[in-house]
Amino acid sequence: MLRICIAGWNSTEADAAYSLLRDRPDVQVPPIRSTGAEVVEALRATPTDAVLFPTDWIDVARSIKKIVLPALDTPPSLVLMTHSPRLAIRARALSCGFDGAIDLSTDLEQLVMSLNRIANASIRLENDEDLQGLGIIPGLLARDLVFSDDDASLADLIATGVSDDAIARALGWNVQVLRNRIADLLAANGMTYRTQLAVAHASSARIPDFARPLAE
Amino acid sequence: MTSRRYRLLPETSRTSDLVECDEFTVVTGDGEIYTSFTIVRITHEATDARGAWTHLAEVTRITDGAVGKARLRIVARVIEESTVTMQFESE
Repeated sequence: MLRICIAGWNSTEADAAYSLLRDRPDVQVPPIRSTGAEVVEALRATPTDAVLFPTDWIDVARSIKKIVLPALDTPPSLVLMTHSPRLAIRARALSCGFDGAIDLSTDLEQLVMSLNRIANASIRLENDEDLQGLGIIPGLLARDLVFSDDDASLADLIATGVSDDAIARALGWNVQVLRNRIADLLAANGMTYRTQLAVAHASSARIPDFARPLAE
Repeated sequence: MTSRRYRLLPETSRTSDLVECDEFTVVTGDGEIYTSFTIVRITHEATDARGAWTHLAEVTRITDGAVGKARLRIVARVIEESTVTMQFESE
């Protein structure tokens, strides 16, 4: 029996996960916890295999991981639940110490299988194939990107996922000038792919990286 | 290679006469990989070429100096599109 706790207030992801999992005989899932305090209370009261958080709870999850989980005998896995295939979201979760991510648009069997594997620690975000292919590791997210002020606005646009043509129009540049600039940015940051830059920028701009060891 | 479509440019022709910037970047891998090249010399002018290319050029890859041949679409001294075939990889 897989013991799940779902967090989220007024969250479409939490509602979707709950409605998918509540009737499964092999999954034990109490009603959605709508505050961080409720999640903490539930984790302290009941052994739990995995806690599912929606994307806008990443910061809450990070606090719970840091403050609450070390005190538990068998800390649960932290799982991001999302409808989005965007790698940037997974990378954010990775940098905040999540163990795995589930895609709510997959079928129910796949979903339960993924949850079981995450709870058993047989898959983790660190060995996620998509992230590995992009070279996304906590160390990458931790480091400072090499940007000028102009490049930061360019990186913002790249991180939104729009095309080179659209960015060139937005900035009033020739597309070839833009591509030369992106190539320089990639080279300066030791990256190979455009998406690496987008993910690293999107992640590093919004969250401090807890993967980096704290100073003694 | 001279044909009705490709006219060999004299060796005295200068890259700066044809383009504002002699560096350009080719994007491959579904828009993921950006590779920059420097034009060594624009060798041919194209007329009615398939793909609407306007020039051929000898190029080197900036990162490692590998040598290739590029098709370029140059409009108003700006490279608007490009594709490169590598001929000699760096050693």
